[in-house]
Amino acid sequence: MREKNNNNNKTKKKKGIARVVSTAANVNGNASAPTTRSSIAANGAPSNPNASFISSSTSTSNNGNNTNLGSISSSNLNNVNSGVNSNVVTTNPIPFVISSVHDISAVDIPEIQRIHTRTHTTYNKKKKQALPPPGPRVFVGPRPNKDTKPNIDLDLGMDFHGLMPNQVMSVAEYLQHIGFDDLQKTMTVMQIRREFYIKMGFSKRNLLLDVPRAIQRFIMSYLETRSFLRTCITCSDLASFLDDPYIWRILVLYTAKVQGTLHETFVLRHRGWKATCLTMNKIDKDPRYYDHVWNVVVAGDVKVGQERLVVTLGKHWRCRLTNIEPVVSAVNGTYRFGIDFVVRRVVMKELVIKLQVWDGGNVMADAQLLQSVHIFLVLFDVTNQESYNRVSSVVRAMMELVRNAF
Amino acid sequence: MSKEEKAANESGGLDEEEQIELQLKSQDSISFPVKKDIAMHSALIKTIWSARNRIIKTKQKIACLKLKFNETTGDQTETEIPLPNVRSAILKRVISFMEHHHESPMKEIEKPLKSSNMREVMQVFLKINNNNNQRKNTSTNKNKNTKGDQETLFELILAANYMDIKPLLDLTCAKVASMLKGKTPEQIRKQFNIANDFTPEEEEAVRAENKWAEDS
Repeated sequence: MREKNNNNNKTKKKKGIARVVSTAANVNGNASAPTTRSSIAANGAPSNPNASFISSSTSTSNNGNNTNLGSISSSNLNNVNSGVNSNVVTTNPIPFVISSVHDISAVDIPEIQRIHTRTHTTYNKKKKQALPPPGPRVFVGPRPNKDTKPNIDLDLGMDFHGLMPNQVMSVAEYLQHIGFDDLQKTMTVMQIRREFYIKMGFSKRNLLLDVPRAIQRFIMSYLETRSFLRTCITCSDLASFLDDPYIWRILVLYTAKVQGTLHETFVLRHRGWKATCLTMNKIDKDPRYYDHVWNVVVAGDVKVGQERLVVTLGKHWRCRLTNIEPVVSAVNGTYRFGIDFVVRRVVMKELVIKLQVWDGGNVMADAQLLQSVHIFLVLFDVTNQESYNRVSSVVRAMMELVRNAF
Repeated sequence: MSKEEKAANESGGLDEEEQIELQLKSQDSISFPVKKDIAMHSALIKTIWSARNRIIKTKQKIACLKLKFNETTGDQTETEIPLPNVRSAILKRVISFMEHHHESPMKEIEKPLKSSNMREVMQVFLKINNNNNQRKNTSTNKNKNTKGDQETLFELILAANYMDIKPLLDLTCAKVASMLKGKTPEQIRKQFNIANDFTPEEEEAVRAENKWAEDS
């Protein structure tokens, strides 16, 4: 019967709490309304977390007592009681309600005191027996004063801002309590999150991460590949820059300038910046690295500019025959070209292709030659109709050869 | 006399605009007088000024239409430009940079920095600086890597971003990049107070992906 009554009381009270909270929210944090203040006083909720001392132990014990009121045996309840008696007037700007304390108030106060005094004495006696032998002791934390009220230093139940675990607040109130007085509306979500974490005490203020993302990217663009990657590895926020095409593009263009592996016309069409940068790194490691060898023969009409084209392609590696490593010859020794050939490496996304550019001059191709040549360029003069006619006839002949060969 | 002066003002408007001193008002409501040409290096002030001029001109036209010539001399009061996001200590530096940049424009910095020492990168820039007062500011920025200096550096970056001064943004960002360059991830974390929020598995994965950058 008693339990049932208690339960009924609890439910009623809980409804009352809900109403109180709603009114508090309406009042917007200021406990100026007399109704809310009186209700809090009646509920026995302490005003300041410093003055009142409700720790985790009390709350847990009370939670246990929700089911069985007869088993109240903790000494902490006394403290709660004393706190209730001392702090009748609440001056808290933010009204809040604690369920555990609330449940106690449902019971008659003198009854609890009676129960408690009994248990308290027994507890003390037991503790005296278990005391360690006299000697120097180390106190961790502040030493409890006997003159003031008995204080429990366990802050486990308390939030680190001095809030109770079951405290009810609106979000704006909580932000104010933390110290978010000036919440700028122009802040991005990232900035707000970061500020929030800093105020909560999870992370410290970080200069590099606080800067907007565009500026971070701008800073990164000044870095070399290796140091850029190293900065990206440090943190998950910066790791999102690993696939940023803007930075990779700058890196690729720079390395291409140094190596001469990318032709300017390729740059506009090419988009896989990161992949190209990675392949370029292979060349940095082995200067003679390549995946495929392509033989290019530049042939065509007389005096069209084959040699000029070969020279421009091989601007960076204009090789002398003596210095070049042994290569698979494009032609099986039967054909001999006028000038030395040119080797050039070109990066196509993930492949390093080695172009061996030969100046074919005025050569007509055989089937034997076409087998070993990958690209056969046939040039003609745009301003001259006759050259085009000549070339077209040659090309037609070559196409027939190709059809026969394959 | 007064009529003549007014006429002179109106006729010689172009010559006089160059000598106009704008009042840049910082966050702490301290105003700094800056010549107009120098202040025009920041795109923000430029846009504000042009918009204001446009408004004034339209007002003048309206006044002319209404035959009210007396209201045309209201320009002088509106030289104040509020910059609510910039502190006064940083605004001072920004202004000194702009003055220096006005005299001798900065060269563009090459994109991958060649050395981690800022002095080597900006040799040309520093040589000119020796003659000027601005050297003090830059040198203090560059030599010390203490926390306070880092804060001012990043505040300078934010101010440059807000006021849209491109050369200053380049310079400061390059400075930060030079601080990052040639360092291991651990050193960077220590310097910039970055918390490592990877799980160990993630970190391994990231490191394995970018392993080729690790070995020198």
